[in-house]
Amino acid sequence: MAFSVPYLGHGVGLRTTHFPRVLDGTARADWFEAVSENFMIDGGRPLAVLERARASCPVVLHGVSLSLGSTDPLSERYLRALRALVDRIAPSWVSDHLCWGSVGGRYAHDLLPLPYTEEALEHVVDRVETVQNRLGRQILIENVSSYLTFAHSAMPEWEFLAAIAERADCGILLDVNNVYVSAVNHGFDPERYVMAMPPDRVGQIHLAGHSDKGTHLLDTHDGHVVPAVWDLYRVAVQRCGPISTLIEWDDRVPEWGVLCAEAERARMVEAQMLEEAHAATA
Amino acid sequence: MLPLRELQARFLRSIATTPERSDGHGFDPALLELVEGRGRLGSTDRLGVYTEMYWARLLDVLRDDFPRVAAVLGADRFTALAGAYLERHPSTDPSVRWVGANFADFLAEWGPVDDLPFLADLARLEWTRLAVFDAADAAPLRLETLRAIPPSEWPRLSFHPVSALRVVRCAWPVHELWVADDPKAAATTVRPAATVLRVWREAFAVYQTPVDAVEHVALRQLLAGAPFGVMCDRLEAVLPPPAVAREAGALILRWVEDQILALPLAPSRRGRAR
Repeated sequence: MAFSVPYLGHGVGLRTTHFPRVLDGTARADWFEAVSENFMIDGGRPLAVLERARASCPVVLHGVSLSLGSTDPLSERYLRALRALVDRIAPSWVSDHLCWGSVGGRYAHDLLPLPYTEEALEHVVDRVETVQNRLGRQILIENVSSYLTFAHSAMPEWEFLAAIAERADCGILLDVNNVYVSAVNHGFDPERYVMAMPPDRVGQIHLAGHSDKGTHLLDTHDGHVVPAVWDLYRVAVQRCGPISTLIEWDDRVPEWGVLCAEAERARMVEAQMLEEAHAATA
Repeated sequence: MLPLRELQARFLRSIATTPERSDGHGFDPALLELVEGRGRLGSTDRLGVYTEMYWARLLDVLRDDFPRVAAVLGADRFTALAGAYLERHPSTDPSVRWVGANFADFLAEWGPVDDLPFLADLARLEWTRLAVFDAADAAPLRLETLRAIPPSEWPRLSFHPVSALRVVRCAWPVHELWVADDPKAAATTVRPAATVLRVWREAFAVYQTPVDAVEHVALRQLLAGAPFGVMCDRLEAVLPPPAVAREAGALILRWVEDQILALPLAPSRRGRAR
């Protein structure tokens, strides 16, 4: 069993703020990440933007509602719509989150935390395998920011994530900001988390901003990546090597130039770490 | 320890408690026992973070999808009303796109908005605009195509509407509220008037216009797939016979200009020669 995705460089999220630039061809990026559900529609401007983006560079699809950890059956309608979008766009890969978001047919539209138990692990592995079979491709699963943990968890999150990737033969989308947010909220060492990631399973990295609420950090994606997250990104590059990295900026989305500058900074940090690693082994 | 399904059911039930009751009193005790409280946040506070996010996200979605309804109601009243809606109609679709699917019907039945009797119509218009915004694309029928068809074939021609066309029947002229700079102020002067709105998309922009009885009859025939000849027959109910062909032709030209007619254009067996 192996996992492999191409290296795409340093991309940005495809967000409505910059749709006009995508349509007029002035939004140039290494690659775009599109939120799958926003494009599971019949037509109109969003799909035209996505197709225009896809014509100019690689695109990956990132879902928020697959609800991999839910005990409800996987939504057949959702899987059909996702498969249709995959066939239409030919993304470089497809990802979603290690969480649940629905139960009893009711959707929270949030990324809710799982207990890290053997029961949950087996359940998620089974569902990831089902999704991969339905899509005819491996998917990547992303660690989410969390604000609570369960007393009956039997393993830390990093072991849970790595075990799922191995058993389900899928990839990992390592959200470095989410690791940091959860580490502060739950009091674990974020470097330990990153160093526990199997490098051959990590296919993408997310970088984003968050908000300090005083009592906890909130994953808001509404600002610059903070210094501590850049430091953790350095550890991730050290651990995994060059990995396609995306700036996730979803709220208070800045001007195109600011967004691109953040992606450029990621490129420079990665280059610096790779150079240091090369010098150390020379 | 709770089985995973039971944990999830109790979790969602807890965080979907309405905002005014989200101080922790609505949280499931068995669930709270499983939530680890450490540092500056206890278990109730931690579950409260999810409660806050649940309501903030879904209220944002409804506010974005129904901006004029929100403006007319004002922030506090909209939040209370949208909260009541979400309790009655929780989201059942993976995409937030459909969270507001029942909002107009809910408003029509919800007693506390009796002082704003046009609100359900306004919500229906806003929801229709969303449906038109992301409806399937279609190649519009061009004037050149139409001009190439001999007049003798017109009665049997079947025009097809594009997917991005809707007709909304309202008891209030809510399109006036929709375009008002201050919908809340405009709401104080609006008076009931049976109104039919045509809502459509040209390129990526969504438009709406009130239509008269003639166009309404013709639109119903178009949407029913009736050929031009049948459309003209029906128009005789609202037009003097000598004016029918001229008015029907003018409507077709207007619809071509507005890009609400799609290819293909085909003779229909349902038509009859006039």
